[in-house]
Amino acid sequence: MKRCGKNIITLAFFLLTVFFCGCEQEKETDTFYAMGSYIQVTIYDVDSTLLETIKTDIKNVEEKISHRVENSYIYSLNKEKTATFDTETYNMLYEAVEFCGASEGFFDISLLSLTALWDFDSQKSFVPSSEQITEALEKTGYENIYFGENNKITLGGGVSIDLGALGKGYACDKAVQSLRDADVNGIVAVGGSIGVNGTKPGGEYFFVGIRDPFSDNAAETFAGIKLKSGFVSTSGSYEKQFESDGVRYHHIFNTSTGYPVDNELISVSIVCNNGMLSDMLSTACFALGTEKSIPLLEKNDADAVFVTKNKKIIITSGLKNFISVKEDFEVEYR
Amino acid sequence: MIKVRDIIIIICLLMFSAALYFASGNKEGSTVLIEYDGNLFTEVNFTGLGDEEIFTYYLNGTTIIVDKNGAYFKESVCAGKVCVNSGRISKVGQIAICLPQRVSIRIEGNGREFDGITG
Repeated sequence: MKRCGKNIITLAFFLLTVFFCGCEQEKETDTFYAMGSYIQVTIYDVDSTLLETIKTDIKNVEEKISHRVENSYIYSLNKEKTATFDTETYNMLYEAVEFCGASEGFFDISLLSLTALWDFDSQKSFVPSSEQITEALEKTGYENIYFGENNKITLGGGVSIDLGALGKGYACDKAVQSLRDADVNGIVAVGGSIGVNGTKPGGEYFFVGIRDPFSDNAAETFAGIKLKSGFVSTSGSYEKQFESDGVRYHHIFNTSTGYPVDNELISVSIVCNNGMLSDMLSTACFALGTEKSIPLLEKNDADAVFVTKNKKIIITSGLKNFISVKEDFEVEYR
Repeated sequence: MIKVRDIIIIICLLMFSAALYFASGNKEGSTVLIEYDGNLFTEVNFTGLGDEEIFTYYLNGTTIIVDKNGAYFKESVCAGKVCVNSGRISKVGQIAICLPQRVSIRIEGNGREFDGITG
């Protein structure tokens, strides 16, 4: 009987310990700018060395793959039309080009001539002429990226590479790998791409909000996804867009026409176990539209949240138990 | 057999933990962190502000207002004004960013709704 009382007190202490562990989460957050984005890294460990490692990882990614950074691999490749890469970046580009093929060209990393022409980053609100667009389109096509021996890549057909549609996801991969290597749980946000390792203290899943595409306020959300060791990326027509003569233009292109994609969608969020893939899929699925995206998602073991212009939310079945959506949206599960 | 003494100990422990929990909650509140280039410029506990207490910060071409209801970018020299159009933030975990000027405001504190926002 005496033992029973002791056990109850032990249990009470255990519960209190768990309770306090949940409340007093020792965490460290770092914020900085890279890859043209605001980056926030939160780790559940007091280890500023790891935060520094992750910052270095992400900045190294930018140094290697940004076409804007002078002497990066991509800058050199675009300029000289041939360059020798390190094995990791070479393999990453090979994967990206394979994905271009898998998406039947709806996703294409060779669109720099087009993205530079429209230049959404400059916020000039400039609509190119159809002749300019045709000319730019002639210098696109992932089939013109040739992978040679000894990590050498060559560009044909005058194409140039822009990795803007996968860079943030790739940076998340690198950051999450550092978390895994250190066996530390945490969350990384590179712009709109999110990577998560593990759970929060006490086993609670990370909760990632999805931006409300109908609100000007970037902090407004319409849904939340519970995430444990995974990645989320979103592509939406509300970002980098302008209006000219009553027509709204955004930055996700139809690779056949050279004009912004015009379908039923306003945003697509992808959840999967690879950051670069989630980033590529979000752009590809936005361009493909809901129906054509489903086979590509299944093939890549990914889930999606599609938001249509008429406020309908289509969610793939794998997310059913992990997502909550605000009441004023109509929801359909696939 | 559980003795009365055991029950009293358990009740005391639970009361102690509850008191600590609420004390902790009151202490932290919700804070606006204003950052430039990823470095902390200042932080303000806005939940403790009165009706008349409105702070204005000028940081690298942006004007930021903090009052008892949260924080927002009032003006910015940037071209797109995405930061100004972002409106007010007040919930824990929300962030507003002026990317061209590298200025950000974010809300920290207890009761975080989201750990990150994709979009």
